[in-house]
Amino acid sequence: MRKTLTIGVALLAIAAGGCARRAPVVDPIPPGPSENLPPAQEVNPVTGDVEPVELPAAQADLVAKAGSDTVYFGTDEHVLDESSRATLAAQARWLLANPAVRASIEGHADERGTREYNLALGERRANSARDFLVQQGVPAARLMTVSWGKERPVAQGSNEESWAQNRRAVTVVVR
Amino acid sequence: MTLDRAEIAGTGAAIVFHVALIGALSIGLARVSSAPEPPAMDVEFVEEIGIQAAAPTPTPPASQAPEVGEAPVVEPAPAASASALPAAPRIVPTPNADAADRLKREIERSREQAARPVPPRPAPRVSRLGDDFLKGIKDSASASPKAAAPAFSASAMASIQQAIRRQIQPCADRQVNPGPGANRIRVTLNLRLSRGGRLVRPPEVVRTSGVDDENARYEDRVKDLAVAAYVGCAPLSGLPAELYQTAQGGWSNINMTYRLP
Amino acid sequence: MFRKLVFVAAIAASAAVAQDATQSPPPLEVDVVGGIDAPMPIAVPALATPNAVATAAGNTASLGNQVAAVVASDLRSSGLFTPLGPAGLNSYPYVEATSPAFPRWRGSGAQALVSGFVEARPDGRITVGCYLFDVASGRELARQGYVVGAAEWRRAAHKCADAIYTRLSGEGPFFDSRVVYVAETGPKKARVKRIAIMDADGSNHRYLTEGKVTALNPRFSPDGRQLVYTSYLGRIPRVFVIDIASGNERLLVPGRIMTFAPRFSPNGRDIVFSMAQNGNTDLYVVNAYGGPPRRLTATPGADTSPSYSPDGSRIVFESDRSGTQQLYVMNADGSGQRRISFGGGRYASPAWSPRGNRIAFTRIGGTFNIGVMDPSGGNVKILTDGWQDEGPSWAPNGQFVMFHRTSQGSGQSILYAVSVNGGRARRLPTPQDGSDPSWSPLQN
Repeated sequence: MRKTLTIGVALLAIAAGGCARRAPVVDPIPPGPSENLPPAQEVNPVTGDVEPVELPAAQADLVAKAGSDTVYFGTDEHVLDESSRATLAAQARWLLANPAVRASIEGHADERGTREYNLALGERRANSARDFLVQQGVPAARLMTVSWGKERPVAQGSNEESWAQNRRAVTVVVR
Repeated sequence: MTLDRAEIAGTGAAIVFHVALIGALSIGLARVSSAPEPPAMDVEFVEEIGIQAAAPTPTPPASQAPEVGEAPVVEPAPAASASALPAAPRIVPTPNADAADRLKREIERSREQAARPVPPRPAPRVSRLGDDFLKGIKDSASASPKAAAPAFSASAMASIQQAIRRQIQPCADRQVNPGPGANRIRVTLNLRLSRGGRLVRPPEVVRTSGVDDENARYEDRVKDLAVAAYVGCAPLSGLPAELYQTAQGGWSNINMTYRLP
Repeated sequence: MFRKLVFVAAIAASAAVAQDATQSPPPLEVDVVGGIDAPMPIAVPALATPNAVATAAGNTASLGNQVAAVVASDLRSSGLFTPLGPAGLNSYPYVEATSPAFPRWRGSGAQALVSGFVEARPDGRITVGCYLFDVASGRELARQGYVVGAAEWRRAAHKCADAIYTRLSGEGPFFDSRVVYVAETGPKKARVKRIAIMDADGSNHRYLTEGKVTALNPRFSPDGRQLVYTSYLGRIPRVFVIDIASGNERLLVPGRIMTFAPRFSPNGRDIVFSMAQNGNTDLYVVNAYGGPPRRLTATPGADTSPSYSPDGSRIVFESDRSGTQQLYVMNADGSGQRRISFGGGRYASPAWSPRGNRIAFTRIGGTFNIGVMDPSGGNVKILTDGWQDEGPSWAPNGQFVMFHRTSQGSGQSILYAVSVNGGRARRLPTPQDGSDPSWSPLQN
C-alpha cells in the first residue's frame, strides 16, 4: 500500500538507530553536517511531509557526552526529578554544541494504562522533557515530540521494575 | 397414559380402537404413522438482488395454515374423527391420580349443585389462582344461571384450571427465556377446543401486557413461547365432558395467560 | 411483516372475543408460568439441494452442509443456542426443506429446526433458502432467501443465522458483520502492529496495512466502507482515513500534529479525535472530508477515547482532568460537559452502545475489566475478569462487546467477545495476536 522509498529508507535508519542506542559506540564520530547522511528524502505523497531520519553515530555521541538519552517518570506522572533534569541539562549542552541536528523527544508509558490514554501520557512526558531543553536554551524549532504510548516497551516484564524502565522520554537525534 | 374420557364415553367401537391405539403407542408405531404433512411449498425468490434478502414469496395454498397456526394439532372439523386419527397419538402428560380424583369429586359436586338450584355463592379463595380467575368467577356469577344446564361451580372451575395448568406446565417449563425483562410480558391466548380436547382453530393472541421499552423486543418471542407451551402439551385430555360448555363457561373456550418465571 | 400479521390477528381476535362476550360466557382463564434460562436446543441439519450441482465453491450438496455448519457455529457463538448438527444429524429430502417431518425432529430434543436448501442458478450463482420452524407446534417462524455468488455462500449463511437469531431472541442481527483490529506479531519490545479485517467469525481474514509502520485504533465508518485509524507513518501518530476496498488513504489533519483516537459520527459526516499539543490532549471534531478542526474540550489534562451516542447528539469520552481517568458526557458541540463515572477505580475507553442505552468501558482497579453502565453512570455492571481487558467495541445489535485481553508477562493479546447479559467471554479466532477490535455495522 505504501511503497515509497522514503519509508524503506526511514525504517532502515530506525532499525540502525535502535541498535546504536542500545549499544553505544565508545569512539564517537563527531556529529555535524559532514556526517554520512542517507540520500535526500522524498516528500511522502500521503502525508505531504518529510520524515525525520535517525543519526546513529550522533545518537551514540549524545549518550557518551550527556550520560544518557533517557529520563524516567513515576506512574501517571510527567514531572522531572532532579536526576532527570541533570541528564536533560547535559543533553541540552550537547544539542547546543551540535547545531546541525535536531532531536525528537519520544515519550513512553508502561503497560498499565489503556492504549489511547497512554498515547496522551507519552506526549505529556515528551513535552515535559522538551520544555526543559527549551529552558536550557535549545531552540524550540530544533525539537519535536512523539508519543509511543505503551507500544514500545524496553523492558518486557509485567512488574514494577519493568514498568519503571518503560515510563520514559528518549531524546533521539535526527536530521 | 389415558385417553380422552369423552371419546371413551362415546361408543364401544371407540373404546376398542383406543385399546388398539394404546398398543400401537406402546410399541412406538404411532409415531411412524404421523399426520400427513402439508405439501412442499413452492418457493419463489424475487429477482436477483445480490445479497439482499430475496424474501421468498410464499405461494403455497395448502401451507398457509402452518404459518399462523399449528397444523398438526388443529382438528379440521369436529366430525372428522377418521382423518384426525393418525394425528391422535401425541403423548400427553396427564394430571396425576390425586388430581384426577379431586377433579372427579369436584365434578360430582358441581352436578349436585346443578341438580339443586342454589344461587351462586361467593367464590371461595383458592390458592394458586390469579386475578383472572376471580374475574372469571365474578363474570359467571353475574350471568343468569340456567337451571337445566350443568352449573360450573367455582371449585370445579378451579380444578379444571389446575388440570389444564398441570398438562401445559411441562411444556411451559421448556421454553427458553429470551432475555432480561421478558418475564414481565404476559401473553393471553384464546384457545377454542373441540369436545375431544383438540384445537378447532389456531391459538390466537388476544392480549399482551407488561411490555415496556426494555423488553419490547421480546414481545413476539414470548407470544411464540405461549403458543409453543400450549401446543407442545396439547391436546388436552381428561377434562369432564359436562363442563365442556355451560352457561358460566367451560373448557371449550379458554384464555391461557402465559409468562416466563 | 410478520409483526403486522400478528397484530392484525390479535385485533381481529380481540374483536371477535368482545363480540362473543355479549352472547356467551367469558373464556375460562388459566395462568401458566414456566420457562428456563438455558441455551435452546436447535436442530441445524445440512441444507438440502434439489440437484447436487458443481459451483465455483464446490457442489451444492457440500455447500448445504457448509452453510449449515456456519449457521450452527454462529448460533452457538451467541450463547443462546445449543445447535444439534449438521454433523451427526441426517439430512432430509429436498421436499422436506419447507415442510419438515416434525415427528422425527421432536424425537431429537430440538425445540426449533433450521431447514432450507442450496440451489445452483443458471447464472452461476446460488440460491440459499433458510427456514425456521417451531418443532413442537410445527409452525413456520421465519423464512429468508438469498441469491449470492457461490463464493459468497458464507454471507448467505450469516444472513440465515441472523434471521434465526433475530426471530428467536428478539435482538437485532449481528452475525453478518466484520471486525477490524490491530494484528500483533513479534516480541513485546518490537511488536509489528498492523490493521487487519475479517468476518465476525474470523473467516476471510486479510491485512489492510503493511507491518512496517505501527498502526492503531481502527474504527469503521457507519457504512462500513472506510476506516479511521492512527498510523506512525512519518514517525508521529496521526489519524488517517482509508477506503477498505481500494486501500486509498489520506491524512485527516494536515501537518505534523499528533492526532489519535479517531471515531466517525453516526451519520458519517464528522470525525472526532484527540489532538495532543504542548503536553495537553483535547478533543476536536472535523468534517470527514476535510476542513479546519473545531475544538470540543479545553481543559488541562488528557481528553481522549471519544464515542458518539447513536443519535449523534452527545459524546462520551475519558478525561483525567479530575486527577484520574474518568468518564464524561458532553453535547456533540462540546457544551454541557459532566462527569458520569464515580465508582471506585479509574474508567477509560468508553463506547456508546448502538442502542444508546448503555456505555461500555474499561475499569482500571487492581486489574483491567470491561463493564457497562447507563449513560447517566448508573447500573454499573462488570462483565469480564481478565488481568488486563480493555478497549470495548459493540456488536451492531448492542448485545455483545468485543475487547482485547492482554496476558501478564508475555504481553500476548487476544480478542474476546462477551454478552452484555453476562456469561463467559468467547475467544475470537485470529491468526496472530490481536488488540483494539472494532465491530462493523451490519453489512448490507
